[in-house]
Amino acid sequence: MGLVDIEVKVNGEEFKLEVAANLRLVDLLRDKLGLIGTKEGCGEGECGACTVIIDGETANSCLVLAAQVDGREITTIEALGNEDKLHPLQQSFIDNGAVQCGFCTPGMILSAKNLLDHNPQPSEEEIKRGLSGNICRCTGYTKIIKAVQDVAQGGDIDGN
Amino acid sequence: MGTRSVGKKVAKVDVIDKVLGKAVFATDYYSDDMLYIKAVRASHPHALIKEIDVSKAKELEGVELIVTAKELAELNNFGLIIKDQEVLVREKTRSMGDVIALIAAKSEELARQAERLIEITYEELEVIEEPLRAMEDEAPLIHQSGNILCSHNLKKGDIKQGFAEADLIISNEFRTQRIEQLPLQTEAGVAEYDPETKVYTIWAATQWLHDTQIDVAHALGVSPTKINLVQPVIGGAFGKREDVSVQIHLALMAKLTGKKVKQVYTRAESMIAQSKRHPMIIRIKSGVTYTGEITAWEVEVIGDTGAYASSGPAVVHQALYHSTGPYNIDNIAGKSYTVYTNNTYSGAMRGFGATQAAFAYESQIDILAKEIGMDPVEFRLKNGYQRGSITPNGQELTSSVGLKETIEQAVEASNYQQIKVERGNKKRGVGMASIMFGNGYGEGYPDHSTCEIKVEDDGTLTIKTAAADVGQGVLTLVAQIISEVLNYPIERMNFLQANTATMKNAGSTSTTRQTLFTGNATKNAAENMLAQIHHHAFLELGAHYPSLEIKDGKIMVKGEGRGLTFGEVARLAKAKGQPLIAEGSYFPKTDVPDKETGFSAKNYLAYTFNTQIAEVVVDTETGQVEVERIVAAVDIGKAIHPQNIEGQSEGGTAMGLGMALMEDQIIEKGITKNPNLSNYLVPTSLDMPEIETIIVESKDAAGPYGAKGIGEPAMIPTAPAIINAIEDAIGVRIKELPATPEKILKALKSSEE
Repeated sequence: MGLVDIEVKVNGEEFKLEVAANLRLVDLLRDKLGLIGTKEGCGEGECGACTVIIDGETANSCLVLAAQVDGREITTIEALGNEDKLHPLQQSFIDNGAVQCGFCTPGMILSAKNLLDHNPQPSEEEIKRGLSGNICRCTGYTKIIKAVQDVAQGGDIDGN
Repeated sequence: MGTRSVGKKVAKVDVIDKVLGKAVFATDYYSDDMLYIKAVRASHPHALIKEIDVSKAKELEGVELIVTAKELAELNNFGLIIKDQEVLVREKTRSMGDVIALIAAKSEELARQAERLIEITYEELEVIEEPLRAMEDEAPLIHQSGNILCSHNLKKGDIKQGFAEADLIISNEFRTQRIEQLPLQTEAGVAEYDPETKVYTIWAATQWLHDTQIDVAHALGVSPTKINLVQPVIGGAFGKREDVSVQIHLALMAKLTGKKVKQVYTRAESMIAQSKRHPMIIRIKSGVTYTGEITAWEVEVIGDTGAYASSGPAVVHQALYHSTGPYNIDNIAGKSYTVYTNNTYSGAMRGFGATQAAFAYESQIDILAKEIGMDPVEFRLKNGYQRGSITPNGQELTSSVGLKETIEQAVEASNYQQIKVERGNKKRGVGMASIMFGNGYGEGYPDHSTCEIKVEDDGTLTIKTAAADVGQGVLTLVAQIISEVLNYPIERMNFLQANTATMKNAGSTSTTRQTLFTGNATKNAAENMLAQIHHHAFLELGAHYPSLEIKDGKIMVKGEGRGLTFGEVARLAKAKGQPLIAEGSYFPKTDVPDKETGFSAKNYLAYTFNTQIAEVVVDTETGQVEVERIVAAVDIGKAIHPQNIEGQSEGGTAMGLGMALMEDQIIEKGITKNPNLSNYLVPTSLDMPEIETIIVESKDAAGPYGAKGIGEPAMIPTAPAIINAIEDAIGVRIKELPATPEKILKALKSSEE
């Protein structure tokens, strides 16, 4: 399998990498860059656990090849907050009890962030639609939807 | 005031790492020079193995080891109740999940390539798809012991007399489907072997560390003390992490290769190889009077346990024991059969047989009510359990029976009456279901839990509990109970990573038992610690309880301002050679059911009740059902964490909605036709109705502070409530789940004919 040179910005940091042409983005992030917050649940783009944001749009990183992100900018869950200052969505997920096993949570939060970045005041239906690519088997989505609504109503999407 | 937190919403103790993406699940363990393990599975579900040719695969560069049963004759079988699963198939495959060979390679990709190079020659046998076929006398045997793995009985009163007293006798057959638990993380793990100590360390999620430890040790033929299982963060479970998955493979290959090994199931592999919810055939014959008494209830349950027993014997009899629902019936007769087939094996899933039973009995209850012209609410209230009721097992319910409150409060909060009266075009419907669920293994099983608390010199608490937190929040519950007893802040508590080397058994995260078992064990541990702290404080401060109080993290003499921090007490105690360590356990007694009748004076420790009312709209053109709203009234004794109770209720309802309308793992001739999320559909955010959970607290249950469990009963009434609502909307009754649009259209069409 051939190798490909790529330049990619991940969470604000520039990487110059040589990757296998068939390497998936999820493997690049997890195996090569140690960004374990991106999860893999199905490997076929159905569950949304591996959701990342590429140039302002969500993508299932299991369906994207590393070679395809040459020159692009990627945001993973690791960019969103830290112990000292959580992102408002992270705080809202905690406050609303929207996290159970936590395996879908990073992807879910990224889908929610991307939704609010494009549509800061979504309706309930728009939130449901925005999260419909992310399967959660634990919560029944109710508290996740409420968590996103709370942030939208607070209008504090960037944590400012 | 203070930091006591039982009954309050507190942040889950493990949630920060989860929202930050830092939580370490089994797949998140990496190390250099690690090998990847791949299980080569059967390509025929019932066949004799004639030859396995691994020669081409072995030649592939980067493949370090390939093993089959031939090289590992010393391996023992494994299995939760009956050890009927081979680690590696010796002579005959019984399902597509069977493992023929294990590959260790330098990468996952290489392991997959090697898998494709292995050639297996089979002599094909008849594939048994249906339990009814398996039960026929001349059907080929899947295991030598016979295709009917076991049967159970239930007898109460006089069934003949009961039918003689009936005005109407109504029989129905209900069928439930094979369901995939679908925890979002597939089976995965990492292991290493230390040749010096001969200890295998395995990092892989399980619902019950100490049981998995024993199963793995048995298979390998080593002492359980040589198996250290470490619990990573668990990516969902729902019953699917009760059985062994990767653990034995990993242990074996770690020892044989001398390297650290990692294995991750693909989604398809997880669906084909790991347990399922038992499909069941449930036949109910009921006698009822026109005044609404249920005089007789005869039931037969046939459960398809697939190729292996797993939890099957227990799941199917649990369905039998729950098959009357929460209703007073004097005359009962029942029989259940757990049957082998060549399907992917069935095991535990949320509700453990009681879920399948509830679809049948709550459909039947609605049918009976309709036949005698009584409102389903009135019929349920008339027959529903109250204090003093006797269960089918003969257990008298002496405490915490909130069934009728759940019915009344669900009706009040829903649009039940309004829809019944106003509905014009009959396409909108409302349906209800009420269920009970026995908490804990019960049935005389020696079930227990333990918890240990240590106060460190700096005043932090170190907590050891092996209870598996699958996301439901048991660790948070443990923290809350400790905070309640010791009036100490949760922020100062640390949980050690659960493992079998340094922790004692906490039992399984199943049968809705952790609130009761680990909750009570924790309360006992915390009370033990409280006594120790008081003892040392008395010696140091010269003041006795009740003149001492714990306030602001200190034990103080009331009104005097003198006191000691917990850290100071810990240091004092340690100096005396009595470190502040407190253990608590909980080991309640239950009774083994009689073989002929199922009689057990104390069969389960407590019963959770849940009434749900579903409001649906059915499109008679497309057969699509939209669930608009579900009200769930749950009697959980006492809500220790109301938000987490809601979380279980909502998540369970979603799973119940999937069971009602869409989920179905289709296996034909032993082969799964939809082993992926494109074709096995589960509810997404778009499918979810508004869910309102009402917490009913009949506060005298056996759990801590009067609590009962919620995990499983949360989902049990949803499917029958939805099916009853569909009947209400369009007048057709679906007796076989799921109620897909095709089935609804077909039923509508045949009702018109």
